[in-house]
Amino acid sequence: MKFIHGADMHLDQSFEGLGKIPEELSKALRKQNQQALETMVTRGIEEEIDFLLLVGDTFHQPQVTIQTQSFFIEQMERLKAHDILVILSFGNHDFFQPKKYWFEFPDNVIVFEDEQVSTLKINCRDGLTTAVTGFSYTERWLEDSKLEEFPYRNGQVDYHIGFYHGQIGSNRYGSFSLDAAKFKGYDYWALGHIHQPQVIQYNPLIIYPGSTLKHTQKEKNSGYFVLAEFDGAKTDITWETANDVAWLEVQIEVSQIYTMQELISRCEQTMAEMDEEGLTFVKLVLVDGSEQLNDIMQNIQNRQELLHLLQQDIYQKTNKKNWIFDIKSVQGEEKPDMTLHLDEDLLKQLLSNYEADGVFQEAINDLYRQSTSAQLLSVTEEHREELLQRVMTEFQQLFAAKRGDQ
Amino acid sequence: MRIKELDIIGFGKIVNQQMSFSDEITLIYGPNEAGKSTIYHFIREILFGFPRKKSSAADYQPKSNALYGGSLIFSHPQYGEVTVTRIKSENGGKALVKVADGPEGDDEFLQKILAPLTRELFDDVYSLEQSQLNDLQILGEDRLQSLLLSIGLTGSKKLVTEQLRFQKNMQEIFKPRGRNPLLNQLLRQYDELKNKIVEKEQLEATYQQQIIASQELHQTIQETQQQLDGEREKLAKINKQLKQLPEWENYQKLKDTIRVTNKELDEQDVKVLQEAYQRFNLLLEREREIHEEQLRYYGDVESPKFAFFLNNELRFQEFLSEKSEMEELNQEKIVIERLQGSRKADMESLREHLGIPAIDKNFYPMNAEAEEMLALAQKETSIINHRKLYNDRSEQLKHDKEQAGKKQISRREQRSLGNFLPLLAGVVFLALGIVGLVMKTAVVGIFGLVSAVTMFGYYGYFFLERRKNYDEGALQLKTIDREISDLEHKMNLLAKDAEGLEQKKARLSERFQFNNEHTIETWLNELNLRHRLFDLTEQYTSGTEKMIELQGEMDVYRQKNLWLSEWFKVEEEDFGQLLIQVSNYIYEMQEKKQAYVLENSGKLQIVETLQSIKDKKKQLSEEYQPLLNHYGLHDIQSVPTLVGEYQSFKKMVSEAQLTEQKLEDIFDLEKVYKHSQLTEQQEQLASQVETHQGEIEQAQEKYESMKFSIQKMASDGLLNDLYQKEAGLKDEINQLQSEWIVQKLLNSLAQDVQDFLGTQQFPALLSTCASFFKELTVNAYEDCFFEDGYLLVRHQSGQVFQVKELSTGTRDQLYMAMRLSFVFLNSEEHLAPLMIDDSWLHYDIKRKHSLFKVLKRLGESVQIVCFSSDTELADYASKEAIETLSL
Repeated sequence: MKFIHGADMHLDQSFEGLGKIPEELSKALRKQNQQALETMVTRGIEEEIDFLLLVGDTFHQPQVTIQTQSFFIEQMERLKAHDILVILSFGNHDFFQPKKYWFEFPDNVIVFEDEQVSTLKINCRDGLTTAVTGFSYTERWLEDSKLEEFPYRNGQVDYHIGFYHGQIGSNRYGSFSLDAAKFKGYDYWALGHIHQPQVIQYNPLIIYPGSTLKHTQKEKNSGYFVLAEFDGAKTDITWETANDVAWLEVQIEVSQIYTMQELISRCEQTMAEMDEEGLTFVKLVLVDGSEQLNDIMQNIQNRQELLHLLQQDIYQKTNKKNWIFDIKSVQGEEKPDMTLHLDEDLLKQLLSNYEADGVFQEAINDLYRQSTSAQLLSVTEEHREELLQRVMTEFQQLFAAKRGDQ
Repeated sequence: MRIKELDIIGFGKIVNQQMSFSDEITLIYGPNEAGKSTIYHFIREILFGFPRKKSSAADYQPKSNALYGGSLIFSHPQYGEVTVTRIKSENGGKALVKVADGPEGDDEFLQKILAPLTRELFDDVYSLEQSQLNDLQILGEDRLQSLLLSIGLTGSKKLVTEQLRFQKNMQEIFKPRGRNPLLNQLLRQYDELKNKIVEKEQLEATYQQQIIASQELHQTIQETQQQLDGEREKLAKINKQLKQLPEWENYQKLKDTIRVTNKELDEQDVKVLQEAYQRFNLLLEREREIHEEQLRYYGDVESPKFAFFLNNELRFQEFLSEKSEMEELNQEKIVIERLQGSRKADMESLREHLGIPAIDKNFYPMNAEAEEMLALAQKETSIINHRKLYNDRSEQLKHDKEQAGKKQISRREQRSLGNFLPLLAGVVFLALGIVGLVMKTAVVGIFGLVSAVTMFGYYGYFFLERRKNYDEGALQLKTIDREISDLEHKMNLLAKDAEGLEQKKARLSERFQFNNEHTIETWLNELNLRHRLFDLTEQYTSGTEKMIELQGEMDVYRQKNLWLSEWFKVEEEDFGQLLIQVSNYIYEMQEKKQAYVLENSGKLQIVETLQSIKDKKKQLSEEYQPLLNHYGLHDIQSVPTLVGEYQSFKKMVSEAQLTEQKLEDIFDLEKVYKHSQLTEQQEQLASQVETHQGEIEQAQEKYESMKFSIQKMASDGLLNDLYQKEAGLKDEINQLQSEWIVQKLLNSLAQDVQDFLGTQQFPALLSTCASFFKELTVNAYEDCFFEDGYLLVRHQSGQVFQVKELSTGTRDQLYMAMRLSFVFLNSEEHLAPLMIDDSWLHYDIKRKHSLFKVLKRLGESVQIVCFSSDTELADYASKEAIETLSL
């Protein structure tokens, strides 16, 4: 038995965190989305797999665009031509509502349409049989664990696979439990939902293949799918690369740079030396900038202009392979003394006031006074901490007196 | 840190100079341009480095050839005595730092030693100069307040200026009601984009509807197509039916005939009769054979001529039966031949009479031409008449002219001859009279005179008369001449008409073979005869045709009877003659045969045989008579007719079967078809087919366009692009929002810091500041205090003022008090000496003294370096034993 296990493809998700990108890049990105699925299908055909498992969140938008659906169907047809089955469920993003899907899935695609757990049997090329038990989301949340509804291992088949889009622990995403899963006696648990690829457990295999595409910087470690082969007692797991988009942080030492022009050519030079394979999204970190440079970078408009300029410049000069999505400057690791007669603890204390919800909201109230801004503003706790840390650092830098090594 | 000594090698205008500083207060005194600020900058640059070339700072590169730089010794609580040497041309302008009994180092080491003192801090906190006061002039109360407090609390205005920067940044990023800040612009763009997306999404939502609609349409098309196919099939069938309808009708007739005939003809009867007929025929044959054999035998013996007759008796009988027709034919031919002869003679004589050269060409004008001829004849007659008239008149005129000419000539002669006679006589008589008178013969004289007078009178009268006649004659001649010319003109016109007429006439004459010399009138008169000739030719032609026809018929007979050639000249002989010859021969031979039969029929054997055959024939006839009667036949000889009927009936049946096979695919043979009905159905179906076809075409077109639009939607990546754009824009917005939040928090934090410092250090700051302020204003102001968030000062009079209300000088003093307070309160750290230049120049002497008192007191805790060009101050310093360096 041979199959591919993929999940969280988010086919129609846009790449996030890139800023205003040129049309051409936008097209290239759309291609990346398609390429990931194409690669998966092509590999499946090459490897003559028995079936392809897509464990939820194949689509990202609440309303899937026609083009994306059409493309997806096209790829499924490719598999059909090689007698490869596709087992598809819907996750919390693409939770199943029949109205949303305008195309008819070809008959090699078996869809778990229901929240009700069900099991299907598949005959493999090697003459063995496997059962796949799974379900779909029909709403954004799945409050209860579905594991209880999963039957115990079917004695009449050679293998039994669990098919589960959910999050480990107690949560609103199907509350998956390792212990409960273990009791079912399955051979393989094909999980989806978590975007970081990881093998949760080896016996039995419980795997999150992670998101197939690195749509955001956070997913910089994903971009895989799992090729699994069961041959008697032998089990073989290969992590296959779906896509070679990369998110990188590139540090540039700029202590000897005093003008914008020097900075730009330095960035160009550094980027020209990069040798990433595919499309690469880069965050430039300018380390140890001179006073002049820091002055320039402190002005928000300057920084914005610099970013836009570098984005276009580097994109064109690196053969449309690299896109700068952020630029920031940091000082060396040493912590400066304050010229103000304040110690760091005091400053931290003052700043910690803003950790309280009300205070923070009050402080940023203006942003809620514009409707679109209010609508788009979403500051998670994590993000808030990040912001406060930035404030701390910047404040210290502004009122810092450099101290030599002790 | 306290500065101990300076060793200036070369800096600005100062070359090779050393100076040492007091730990407390040192006054550097010198007039303007003496180099006070040079020293200040020397300290600054040795400690913090030379300015970069690009910087706008003053250039202290010495004008002389001296090295640029020097060294500075300071004491440090931790490092002890530190010597810093910095020379521009050496070591790249980097510092060389020496610690007493300790390590050496470079700039980095120096920074470590000086920390947290930086150039910035040195400038902001430890340098007090005139220019800083300028800021105070332009600020409003609030800003002034926060500036003073910030200075008091942090020693510099940086917190305030940074705060301003944060605020400015915030404004640049976002204003809740703004349009131009970056975030506002992006938000607007986002709104626009979102609208586009919604629009596009709605459009895509119609996709499913479109698919359903297209499927329905497809269904409809297929249904209509089926219907259409059915109709087409029907139509094709009807078309075939229409085409085969005559055959169907024939078939129907055939069937009727068969039905009717079938009743009358019984197959068995026919068979029986046929057998009977055969038997009867055998008998007949036998009888004939006996006859023939017998006759031939005897005929041969008698003569070949007779034998020829006997052998061909049947043919001769047939000949006889056709004889009358042939004779008629011959008769007719003879009549026509005669007629043709007379016609031909008539035609010839008429042709000659009319003088027509070719009779086979046109000679008889029909209606249109005849009418034209009538018109032309009138015209011709008129022309001839006129011509005659004109000619006569012309003759007459010629004659008249001749006569008149003659008369005139004679008149002219008369005038010349006769005229002079009376005149001559008169002269003679006059002479006679005169002679008479002279001769005194009165009578003669008087007679002569009277006669002379008479003669002269006579002459006069006749002279006048003649002259009158001559003139009249001339007039007459002229009239005749005019008439002649008129006439000539008319004749010319007539000639032209005649010419036109001649042309037409020539054409007609050529066409119809008229004699061109005759008048048309004559032609018209000929017309009856020509008509007659025309009729004759026609009759002659049809006669000829008839002759040919008769000849053909005769030839048929000749051909038919070629067998006679043995005895007759069938082809050569005249037909009539031939008829007579053959007829005579037949009669002769018939007689001969009669005689011969009579002569030889007595022979019993033959008679018996013949008789028995006759009996059998009769018997057979009688036997079958009822059956024959049943079928309406007179005798057994007619049986072949019945058989023929029967066979044609059978043929009809098989034909009917064949037709049925052929038609049963096309027609429902049980039904009745009518041409009109079929045509009607055909038309109806054709129109239905056309309608449905049109419908299908239309629907197909619509379906194609729908399919195209569906495909286009399926391959349209616009929405995905828009989503990507939205994601990008959202990122930018979120980034700017974060940026704004950071700026906002920085601003708040700066405020918090100020507030905190305020609460912590405020009481100490205020009391120090108040005491300094009181001292500096020589007790004019007693206090400064904080009330309702405002810094206020109290005059010794008890009056309270806001900062802005103070005079410029007092405000400067308050600023000074604040700065000094901060330095004083933080003096324990000994970060740097306070460098102060003569910002007090406009103070009065009292105040200058009080400032120096304050400085001196401050000098106990902080090293102070004072730059001044104030002589009063120099005096004061020497009095107070303050260390002074004079430049």
